[in-house]
Amino acid sequence: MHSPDPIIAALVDAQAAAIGLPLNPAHRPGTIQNLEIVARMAQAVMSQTLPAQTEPAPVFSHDRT
Amino acid sequence: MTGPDETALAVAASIREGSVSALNVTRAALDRISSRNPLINAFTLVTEERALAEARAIDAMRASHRPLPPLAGVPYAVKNLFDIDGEVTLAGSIINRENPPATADAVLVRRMREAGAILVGATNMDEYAYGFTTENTHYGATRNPHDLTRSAGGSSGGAAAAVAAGCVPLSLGSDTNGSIRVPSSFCGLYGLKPTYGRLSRSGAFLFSASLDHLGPFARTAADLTACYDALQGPAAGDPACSRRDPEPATPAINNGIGNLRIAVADGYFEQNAHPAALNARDIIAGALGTKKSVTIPEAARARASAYIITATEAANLHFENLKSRPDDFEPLTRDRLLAGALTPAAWILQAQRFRSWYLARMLEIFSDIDIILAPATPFAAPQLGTDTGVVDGKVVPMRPNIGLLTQPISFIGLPVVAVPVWGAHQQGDSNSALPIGVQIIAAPWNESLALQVAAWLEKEGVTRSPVAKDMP
Repeated sequence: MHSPDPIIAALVDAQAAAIGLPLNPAHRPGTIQNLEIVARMAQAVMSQTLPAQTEPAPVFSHDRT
Repeated sequence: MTGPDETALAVAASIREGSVSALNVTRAALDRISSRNPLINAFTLVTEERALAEARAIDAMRASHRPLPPLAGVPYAVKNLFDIDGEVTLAGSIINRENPPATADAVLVRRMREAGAILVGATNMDEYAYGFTTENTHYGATRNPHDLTRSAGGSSGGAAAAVAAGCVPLSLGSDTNGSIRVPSSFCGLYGLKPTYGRLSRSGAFLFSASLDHLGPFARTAADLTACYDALQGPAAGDPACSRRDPEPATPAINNGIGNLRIAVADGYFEQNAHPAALNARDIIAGALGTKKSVTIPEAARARASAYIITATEAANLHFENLKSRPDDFEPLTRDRLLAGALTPAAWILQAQRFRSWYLARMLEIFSDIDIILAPATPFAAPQLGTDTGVVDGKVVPMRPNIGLLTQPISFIGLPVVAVPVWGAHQQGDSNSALPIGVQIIAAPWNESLALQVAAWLEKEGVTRSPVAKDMP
């Protein structure tokens, strides 16, 4: 049985309320578990310091590369 | 010239010379779909009326001595996220069934029509392209034609299975994190994920806009290249589509491997691959005479970033339906979308900034190397219903980890041809009859080089893509 991370569980509840996403109780455990996976991914991403001039690349164009 | 093994270019040549009509070719393809689809569940729609009308139009062109376009009379299918005029674009969902029918073909469907190809149907996929196995709860799983107990891969599994089963010689799919390269690997096909922005996505139902690409599947490198050439060119309606003129790859396809600088991706791309996948890569590297290896920096972070961006862009796209009707989503991915909707902005923006950094590092690598080789999938096609697998010595959820080796590449939009390798498993391995794919990765806009390498490997007999045996 998966025991949810209390911080991620609290984030799910608070964030869902803040953005107006009603969370069906049946979907809550799976949502928490999936956000825990995202959090682990984010830990890897956030642990690298990037130069200040590195801009986000939401939609990039290879026309410039 | 109406059999399942015929290549697209051979079919087009036969129609051009008059040894067979487009109508007979189309009827034969429709018959094969009728007999084979019940086994593989690749098609969600068969466009028989349209196909016969398009075929008659090609035959009429020939009868009036007009020049035929390059893919005249070649049957093809499209993943059901492409708009087809008059049909509802499902994108693998039941939610989209309520949408009105498309009022025009997607740009790439229009281009196939202009190239003379005959649309015979739309194919199954993971809902909203979120998956690597085409185990669709609403429309059933697509089965791998080479082993009906196994996955065809996803999310473009139906499009791949339709080609591997010999229903059609060509199909179109989409690739966000590996959804062309994974099914190519599992079904033993040639698949092209072009440079991000090369092919217009206008009229396709997107998944994660900053990662989405469209591209073709085929059973030969020459067919793949001819189809790609027919699809190129700028178009309105897709803000990411380049304004570049078409750069046909067919004229260079037989240029060989010449002085190409080719290297094998080590590190992450070895740690996360099973021995058979590494053997497949080594078979390719050996044939190409490759001795060099290259370390792609921070590939694990690239994969993590792609994961975050995918979940959050997709969740944003589907936010209203996640609020109002979450139970109508695919249960296998609904909770991933909900988690994506709740992901903090700090993580998303860091992933996007990392993406810029990573692209710059990859472009530095391509100043010394033309082609990078890496396995397409960590392993061959798994049994349908498999929930976990072993990667890098750890038991992990199977479905999201199938794309471990494709995600760091599509993350920055590099062009890749997946090529099929057979015999990479050891004798006695339960997977020994299955193919596995290798990625031929090039720098942005260098699809032509990757296609050249694929054509050379095929000519040398290193790769091949047979139609599945024992199809009715």
